[in-house]
Amino acid sequence: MASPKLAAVRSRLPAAARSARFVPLLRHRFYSNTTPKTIASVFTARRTVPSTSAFTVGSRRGYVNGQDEDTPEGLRYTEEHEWLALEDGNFAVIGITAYASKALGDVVYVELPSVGASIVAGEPIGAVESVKSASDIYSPVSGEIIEVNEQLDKKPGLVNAEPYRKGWICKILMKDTTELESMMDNNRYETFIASS
Amino acid sequence: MLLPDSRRQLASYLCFALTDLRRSSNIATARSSNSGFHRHFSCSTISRQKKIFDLQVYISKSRSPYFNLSYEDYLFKKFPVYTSYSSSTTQVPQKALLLYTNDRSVIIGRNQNPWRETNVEALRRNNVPLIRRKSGGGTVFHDDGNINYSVMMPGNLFDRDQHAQLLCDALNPVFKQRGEETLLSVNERHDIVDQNARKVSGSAYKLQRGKAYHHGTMLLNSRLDLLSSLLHDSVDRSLEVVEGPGVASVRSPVSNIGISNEIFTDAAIMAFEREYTAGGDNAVEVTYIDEGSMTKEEAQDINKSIEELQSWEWTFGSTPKFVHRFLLEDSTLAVSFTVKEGAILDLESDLPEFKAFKDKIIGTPYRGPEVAAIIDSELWKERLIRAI
Repeated sequence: MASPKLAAVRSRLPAAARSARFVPLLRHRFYSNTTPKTIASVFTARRTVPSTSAFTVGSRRGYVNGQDEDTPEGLRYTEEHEWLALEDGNFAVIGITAYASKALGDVVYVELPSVGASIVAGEPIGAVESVKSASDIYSPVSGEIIEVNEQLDKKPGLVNAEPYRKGWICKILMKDTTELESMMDNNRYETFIASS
Repeated sequence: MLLPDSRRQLASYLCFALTDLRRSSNIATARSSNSGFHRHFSCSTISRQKKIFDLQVYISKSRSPYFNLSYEDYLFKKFPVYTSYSSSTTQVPQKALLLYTNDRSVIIGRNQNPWRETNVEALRRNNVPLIRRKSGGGTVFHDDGNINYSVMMPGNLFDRDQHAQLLCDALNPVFKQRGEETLLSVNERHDIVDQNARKVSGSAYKLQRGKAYHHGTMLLNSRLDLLSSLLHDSVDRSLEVVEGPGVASVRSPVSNIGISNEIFTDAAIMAFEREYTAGGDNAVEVTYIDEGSMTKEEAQDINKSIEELQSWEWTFGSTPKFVHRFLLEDSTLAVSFTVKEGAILDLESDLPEFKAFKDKIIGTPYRGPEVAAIIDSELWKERLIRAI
């Protein structure tokens, strides 16, 4: 799946130009951080298959026009409006979605779980306070909390400003990856929020 | 996590009736009142179909703040979970209203710093318990001139102002009838204020998967002088400063509404019955509760909760990492404690009284007597026992 920006540009091209040959060129202009060494390498029709399981906190994927995309690809979502990103190995990064952070209002405090705590899928792992409301956050997977985002202590507003990047909440070492299968992808989540 | 459905509120304000009506299955009503013009409603011509609830009312006879808050938590735990993606439209949703009055106490929000938001020394001196509740928001003063209401609702129907507005609409006629000027309304901070913009009720909320509650105070005939000295006239800021994250209280001028507990209770229950039930003899089930009316299982649960509320670890120890500075009369720093998870993480001081004990004191629980036991200076022992 191409990035939305790439897809948007490509759809504006005449049909002939949408072939595979031109893909690397477009990738270079809008997506790549590096310049190709030779012109020839630009036209090498090497299509990369994007991996939906690769996401690094702070990576550029899901970042468009200086703002976090509403529902980035490559993440998994829950009906409780949490997102999960997989990292190398069995690590899962959890946060709340942009939809959730907008609906909650300005976050004034984030209650983080303790590092080392062992949790079961569906259990609350913390809470977010906004507009006098304490709202529980639930973990979609079981495992052990190995890292929490301490930046949120001083800057709880990161949850509103960058819900998918600097506003991440905790990192869990997963015990059972089959729990991921019941989560939604970005399209299903978008349908879900549109219908609720 | 559960989200407030602001779109539903927006819909009813702007009269984009189609979305709202579809959700409350109101299309039949709308068409019959405006046949042929069903796209152009004005708010006044829509007869909003009342959503019917299975309304349960509980009135607590206990005055213990520990029992009442624990019972509230217990009720909330028992309250059914509704999720918009799993509830059936034919199921009658529940709504619970709990009314309780506490003996004199100060209640802080879940994520607040008690040293910053209250005068801990004055609380101790006046023998007023400090309790940390489970919902968010700021600090309030409870006594027998204050009544608390708690409304529990399904998650997809969470609303911050609806019930406060209902109470205003229930009480305003009472004042009019008594010839009083008082006129209540809900302000943008979700507080209930009178005609002079004085706060008479504060609100706080808790949201969990599929359910939520809104609870608030109501100043009937409360000791506002005590409220002031325990909350407003906090610690002398020239001698003590607390820095750290956590929710800050917003101070407001307050006022009593001057009606009795009974009148408020009757007005509130009648309003809820009128608004949320179909009426009739058995529309509302009112249950009186106190410590003695609990079953064995209930008592077990509630007692555990009471213990947690009474524990130092929950009330003080769970405060997020902060720095507590004590100053000398000339405003220079005497000592600064960095406290995390209820224990001293670090100490900063130029005074020999503290420097000598720096290593010993790190790791000590942040409790007056324990900190005082470590240092030598009598003057400081006394001051710290009072202030911490």
